[in-house]
This record gives sequence, structure tokens and C-alpha cells, in this order.
Amino acid sequence: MSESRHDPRGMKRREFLKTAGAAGFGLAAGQLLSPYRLWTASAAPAAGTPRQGGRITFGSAALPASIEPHLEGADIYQRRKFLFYENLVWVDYDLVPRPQLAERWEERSPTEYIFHLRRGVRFHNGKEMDAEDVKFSYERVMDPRTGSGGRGDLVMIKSIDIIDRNTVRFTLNEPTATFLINIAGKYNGVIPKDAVRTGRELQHAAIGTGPFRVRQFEPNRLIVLERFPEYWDRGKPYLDGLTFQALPDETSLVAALRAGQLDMVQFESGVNFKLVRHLVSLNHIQAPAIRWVVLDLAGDQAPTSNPDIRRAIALSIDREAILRIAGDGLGTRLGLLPTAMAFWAMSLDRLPNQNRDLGRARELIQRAGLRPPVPLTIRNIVGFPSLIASVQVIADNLKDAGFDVRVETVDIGVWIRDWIARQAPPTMNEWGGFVDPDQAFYRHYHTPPKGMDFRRWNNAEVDRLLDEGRSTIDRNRRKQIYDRIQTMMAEDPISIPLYAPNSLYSMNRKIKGFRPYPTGFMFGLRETWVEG
Amino acid sequence: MRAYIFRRLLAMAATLLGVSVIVFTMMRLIPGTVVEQLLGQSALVGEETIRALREFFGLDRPWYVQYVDWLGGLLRGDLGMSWRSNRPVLSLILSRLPVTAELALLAVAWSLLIGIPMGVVAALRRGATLDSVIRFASTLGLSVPAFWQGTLLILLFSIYLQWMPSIQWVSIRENVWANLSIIALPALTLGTATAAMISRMTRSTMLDVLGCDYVRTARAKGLREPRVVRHHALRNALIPVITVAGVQMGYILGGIVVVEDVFNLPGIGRLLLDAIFQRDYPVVQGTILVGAALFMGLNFLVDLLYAAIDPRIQYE
Repeated sequence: MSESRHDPRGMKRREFLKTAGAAGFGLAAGQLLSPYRLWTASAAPAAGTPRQGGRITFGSAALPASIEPHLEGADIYQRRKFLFYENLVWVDYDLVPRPQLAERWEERSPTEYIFHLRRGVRFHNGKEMDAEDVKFSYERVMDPRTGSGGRGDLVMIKSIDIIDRNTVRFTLNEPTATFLINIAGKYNGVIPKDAVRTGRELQHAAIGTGPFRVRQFEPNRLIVLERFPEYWDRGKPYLDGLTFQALPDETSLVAALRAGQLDMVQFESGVNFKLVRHLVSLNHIQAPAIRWVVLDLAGDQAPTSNPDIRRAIALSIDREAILRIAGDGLGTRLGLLPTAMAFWAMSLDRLPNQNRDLGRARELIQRAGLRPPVPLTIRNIVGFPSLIASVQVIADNLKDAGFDVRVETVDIGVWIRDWIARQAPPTMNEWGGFVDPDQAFYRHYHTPPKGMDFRRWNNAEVDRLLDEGRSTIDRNRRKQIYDRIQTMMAEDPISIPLYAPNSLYSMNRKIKGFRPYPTGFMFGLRETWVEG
Repeated sequence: MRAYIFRRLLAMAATLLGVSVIVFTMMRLIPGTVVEQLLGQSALVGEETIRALREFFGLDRPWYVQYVDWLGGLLRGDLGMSWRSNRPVLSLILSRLPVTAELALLAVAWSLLIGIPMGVVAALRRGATLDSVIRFASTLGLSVPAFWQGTLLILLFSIYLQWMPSIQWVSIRENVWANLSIIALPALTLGTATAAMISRMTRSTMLDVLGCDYVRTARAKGLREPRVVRHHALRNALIPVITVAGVQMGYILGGIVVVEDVFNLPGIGRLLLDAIFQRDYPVVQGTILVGAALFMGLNFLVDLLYAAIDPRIQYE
């Protein structure tokens, strides 16, 4: 059993995960503690020589309703999507952008990138990929009429020009540190130009360039992939076939794994992972993930419009207890960014207002001129068990400090409506999938029109720093900028991260070579093989 | 009789129209639309993208225009396309119908197979311990929710008895044994409450019939008890049971949503549930309408059957 043990602070790790992918800019491999290294410390991939052949069935609680490359936003889709769609660039396990469909690129100036495409790449329909397909695919995501959720990630692109059949130029409006990361983003994927007629056919048929092609897709139930023999990276993938099977009830996942009907399972619930992790007939992986549970406050609604009250809330919350109770102890605490973003994340001991201090919290309430009990509404979203469990602990914690908490539970539709309209009250959220602090912070905290400042923090200094961080290319200089931003966020906690749940996988012992990816994407299945 | 059938069909059409209005408006009362579900929680997009997607799905038009548009398609036999998977709703339903039909039929068969003998035995042993046991079992069967019973059965068989049917659906045409092994536990779960109901109904009608003059006459002329029960009592006692079984089909159709979810069966119930979560309006509307039509059709058939079995009943 290769289960992870304890991190340096003595806490257990584990998985979970939701969203997208990206990278740390110019990260010199080996220089820093990367998420991959954190993970290898706990569960190294089995050594051995990869073997061609074999099929595995991978179980999870849910599968997507569509496989549209540029529209489908469900993370259960995006985790699997890059097994059949690819981009010019991918972000590797160390969060560094690496060539994928582009063989290499040149940065002619901070606003001009030339991509030299890999020759002989074929789509699953047999067509050879060329510059026209690349231009068409990225422009499709950028086109507001497409309605892609990834459009915002590509706003820095001014134009895409075809230089010749195998060379494409991207011109940017301004230097942007995250450009390469963003074109590797979760809403992108190169498709053949002639594949889109009505715009809807790609909802149930995939024509990508990835290592697997989709043989069968049944919405919400089943995705059957088969090895694409003409894949450009010769020899990969090792598996002949890969079936994703949804079993909505996690009890059934446990039963099917034990009965040998599933070879591998990803758990959303720590409870069910704990049920199987003692079984020596299986291998188990817990990996720190870029995902965190958080209480977001509202900068323009009383009482959280008062910075003293925001600090009082941060000082009232017992984050250790929340990790233990809501996160089943299978995760890590975090400051502003999760430990899986090792280079960027500041450690807890360097940040203020991270630990419970009821005396100080009561003082701050008094200083704000409020008399307990201070009424406070916290919004919760239906269908996220970790949020429900967290909010119960929070309500209890805040009561000790003198708050009278009312929990309001809403449907995700209501949540998204109010969140986008920038009128949400203090809300329990779950964020993740970012690989660069710009992705995590810019849209969230920069005031409109450039950002959305969803929490209405209205912090001009942070705006300035975020702009600087985005246009600065030097990585160490950027690190200083984002450290300053994290410190400011901890001093005036408009957003209070609670814990980062781990990614959790269990698999039969014949499955080798699977590596968890920090954002939960299943890139690892490209290199997975079955022992004979 | 013909006039009766015609009137019933007309009433069914009117009811279906009413159902279509209710389903259409109810789906739109649930907060959130397909747009938010499609974008996902992590996609924080601008108003422009949301507007483009609303237009794409036709959600920018007034609701009555959307309704008339959908109804027009319906009258031409077109249930529309799924918004999420872009497949014809009718073909989605038809591909899932055999699973649901098999499950429902087996559940009814199971409930009749268990419910009727239990009811008969309880009536014949009225007041005895066996009667009490059966009545207790019936009450329990009625009270236990299907999702709980299903989960317990899964745990019992997979963990304690180390037996688990295939998690991949196998149709009855592919492999009868594999198919039955998959569907046995769901059918058992789904049919339990109905079996309990039928058992109670059979017991009570049997008790009525056993007290009738013609049963006493049968006994008086020297017939043996099994023959009295089978030929004289049971035949008459079963007439109301058929009605109950017919009405219970409605209960079973409702329970299918839960049972298909718990046992991961690719039937109409799962289709409906997924579509509701994803706000895939055309699929929800189409599935509920087909479900309502099936329910009304079954009730109608039961009524006709009733007349065929009991000559005292005539429709005009």
C-alpha cells in the first residue's frame, strides 16, 4: 500500500480537485518544491518498465453531459478532456509550460510569439493538423458568439496570423506573464477547422489529436476511449483502452472496486476513501491539490464592509477543526494559496490573522462599534458536502466571538447569478484549478472593468500590484509582488481560505505509472500501464 | 364502449396538454438555467458570454414563445434535441425505455408473486401468528424507503456475500442471466412496497369473499378447501387487487427515479434526474410527458381489463 503519510506539520494529505490547468512561469526544474515533489514524497509511482496493452475501467461519481471542447465547463469533463484534445502547449507536472502541438516557440518580443507546429500530427478523423486549425480553434474560444467560458483567459490576444502551414504568430495587446499558461487552459483544444458546422456536433463526438479517441460516449454515464494508433508521441499511450464509468452512489464505487469490477476510482468523499484505504489489495494515492474551501466576504455589505469585522471573523475561525471535521483530515491548511502551488504560496507563519484568537476578535468587534450578537448571513451552495460541513463549524466558531450567524442555502444557479452580478453576501465557496497567482487573483480582486472584484474589496493598491504582476515577466520579481498581495489579503481578510482537500485515488495493484496532477487533470493516464 | 374509449382518449389528450404546461413552467421556476450549468462554477464569465449562450438556447425569448415553439414540435412528433448532448430527445427516451420497462414489469411481477400468496395465507390464518408476521412484514415493506433498502441490499450482497452484478448494463437480448442478475435487486427494491400493498389488499378482499354466501355454499356442497379458495374465493377477491396493481404502476414509475439512481441503471429515471440537474429542459419535458402518457395509458388498460374480467362492469 503506497498511501501518503504525513506532511511536515503532521497533517494527513489527500486528494480532491476540480478545475483547470496552468503553470508556473519559467520554473527551473529542480529549483523549487513543486507539487509533483510534494506528492512523490508521499506516494511515488511504481517503478518498472511500462508495458503496452491492457484496458482499465475508471469509476467516479459523475461524468459530463457533453464533451464539447470549448463550451463544456464541468470540471468532471475537463479532468478527462486532455486525453483526447490537446493544445499548442501543455503545463507539465512541475507547472512549467511545455511543447505539445507546437514543437517549439519563439518569443520575438514580449507581445509576439511564434509557434512552430509539430509535423505529421493527425486528428482522430485522419486529417493532418495545420496552422489553419490552430487559428480557427483559438479564435472560436475568443469569439463571444461561441459563449465559451474560456474567452476571458485569451483577452490578451490581439491577433492570430498564419505565417505558413506549420507556423502561427500570436500578437498580444500587452506583455502578459500568463499567456502560455492560458493557451494551455482548460477551455481550449485544437479541433479541425471543418469539424464545426452547426456548432453542436462536438457535444457528443470528439475529434482531437490526443492519445486516445472517443469510441463511445453516453452522457453522464460512460466514456469509452481507445488508443489512437496514429498519435504523434509514438509509443504512447500504453493502454489499449480506458473506460470511464459513473456510479452516482459512492458506496457502489467502493463495492465495485472491491469486487474488481473497477480498476481505479477517484473519490470525492474522504469518508469513502477511508473505507478502502486500509485494503492491502489496492494501492492508494493522496496528493495535495490546487483547490480550496473558503469563506468569501462582501466588502460593500454590513457588517463585513468594516475591515475590523473581517479581521474578527478571520480570528474567530478554527481552521484546524474545519480541516478535521469537514475535510476528514485529508487535506492541508493554507494561507492564501494551497501548498500545491509551492513556489507562490506563502506559508502560514509568515501571514497574519491565521489562527484563532477569540480575545482579539472580541476587541475588534468592540472597536468597530458593534454590540454582540452581531447579525451575519453566510450563504451556502446546495450540493457541496464539504461546504455544508464547514459552514456548520464556522457558525459555531463565530457564535463564540459574538456573531449571530444565519446560514442561507441556495442553488448554484442563484449563486452564479449573484456572484457575477457582484451582489453576493458572505459566501462559502470552493476555488481551484489555477496554476498561477494571476489566474487566482486578477479576475477575482481587480476592480472592473479589467477585473470583476467579486467581493467588492475595492483596493486600489492591490489593483496596481495585480497589473504589475501580470505584465512582469521575471518570475522572482513576480513572486515578490504576489507575496505582497497575499500579505495584504491576510491583513485585511476579504477572503478566508479554510483548507485545501487532497486528491484521492484508489486502484488495483496491477495499475502502474499513474501520476496525480495538481489540478486533478488526468494527464497521468497517458503514462499509466497494466502489469502483466 | 367505443364512445367511452373515445371520451377517455380525449380526456387523456387534454390532461397531457395540462401536464405539458405544468412541466414547462415548473422547470423554469427552478433557479438557474442550462447556461450556468454549462459554464460550471469555476467559469466566471462576463455578461456578454451569458447573453450569447442564452440566445444559443433560445432562452432570451419570452416563455410563451418558447412553449408554443416546443408544443408545435410536439404535435409534429418532435420532442426536440437535448441541450447538453445534442441528441434527439425521443431517441434518448426510446434507448432507455427498455431498461425502465423491464424493471417496472419485474417489480410488478415480483410484487404480485409475493403479495398475493402472502395476502391469501394471512386471510386463511386470520388472527394466527402467521397472520401477524405477514401484517408486520407488510407494514415494514410499506415504510422502508427504497433508497435505504437499495443501499442496504448493495452492502449486504457486495460486502457480506461477496457478490456483485456487473456495473455495466447488459440487455436481456445480449445475455439473459447477466441481465437478470443486474436487475434482480433493483426490481426487488422497487416492488417491495407494492408487494406489501397488494398483500394487505388481498388479505382484506379475501376475508370479505370468504364470508360470502357462495363460499359457504361451495363448502356446504363438500368441495375441498383448496378448491374453494382457488376457484371461488380467490378469483373474486382478485378483481379489486388488479385495480390496486394498476394504480401502483404509478407509484412504481415514481420509484424508478430513485431506484435507477441507487443501482446505476441506465433507464428513464436516471435520464430525467440528470436532465433536471443540468436544466436540460427539452429532455425533462419530453421524459415527463412520455412518463405521464405511459401512466395514463396503463390506467386506461387496467380499466378496460377490469371490464373484461368482471362482467358486472360495463362502460357506456
